[in-house]
Amino acid sequence: MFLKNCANVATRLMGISRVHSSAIVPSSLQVRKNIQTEVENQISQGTAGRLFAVVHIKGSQYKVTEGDIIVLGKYHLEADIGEKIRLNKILLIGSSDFSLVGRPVLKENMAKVEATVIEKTLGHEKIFFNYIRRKSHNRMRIRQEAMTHLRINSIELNSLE
Amino acid sequence: MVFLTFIRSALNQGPDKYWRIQQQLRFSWHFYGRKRNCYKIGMRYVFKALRYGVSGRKDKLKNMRELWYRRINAGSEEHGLEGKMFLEGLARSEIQLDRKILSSLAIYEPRTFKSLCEVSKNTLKEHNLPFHEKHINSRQNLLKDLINNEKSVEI
Repeated sequence: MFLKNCANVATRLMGISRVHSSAIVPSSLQVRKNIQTEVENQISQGTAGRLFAVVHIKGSQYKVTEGDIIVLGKYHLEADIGEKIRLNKILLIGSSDFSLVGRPVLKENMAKVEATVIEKTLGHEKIFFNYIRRKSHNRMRIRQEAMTHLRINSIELNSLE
Repeated sequence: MVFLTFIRSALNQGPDKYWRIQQQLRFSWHFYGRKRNCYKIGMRYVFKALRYGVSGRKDKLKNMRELWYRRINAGSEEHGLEGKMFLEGLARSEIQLDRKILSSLAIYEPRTFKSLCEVSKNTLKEHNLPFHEKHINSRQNLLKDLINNEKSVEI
């Protein structure tokens, strides 16, 4: 048991040390270098094409591209309507030829996803109803949950480091 | 509100009852038979229907989670991995993508999903975990099987 625990701790520590190593690790180092140079070339020349990103916002993840509208349920964001915000937690960025995976998130300098708050509204009315049979007990609550709409303005890839 | 006479109080119960019935009719407009228009008969059915609405919202998430897992399983089996071990490999390599996201990647971004499969395979090998290679749903293998069968028939 003790050895097993030790092994678990060791793997965890290794995992933590591997945070922010973004590129996928292929079997040999040469292949890895080749891939890295190719990706860097594509980024510098601007031939990566249209990008998509997986973004983490308040406990749920969204797959977005440029010009998308996403709806965040159950809460209002602190930012006001019309304000621009930067989404920091980027888990994955993909293009037609390559995809960068964060462990668990990419570095801040690597990529930039910006969005504006379009709307803050309420959702549809949800009815919460319960009764106990033969006891003449029933309760009805009607709730409307808050929701915010975001538009994704831009997804930029700057560098691999 | 104090009613000095019995007649006053009896008169006052009118509108409240009316609105109560109207509320129920709004819920029971799509029913069939007398439970659609009669208040007392429809009451039981409306109660039950509203209760199903509450429990259905909970079940929806559970069902969606199951569906996501099935899609991930189907996607990863194309690349020779069980869905369970694929998720295990991702968790060990500190990739915290959702099941929802992974299922959508499996459908709409097959190349990123393939690379994720390779990552998880590598980490499973590092941790000395066994994974059984399966090729159930892959189209290439299906084609191969079809060709082989044809040959055997010819022979």
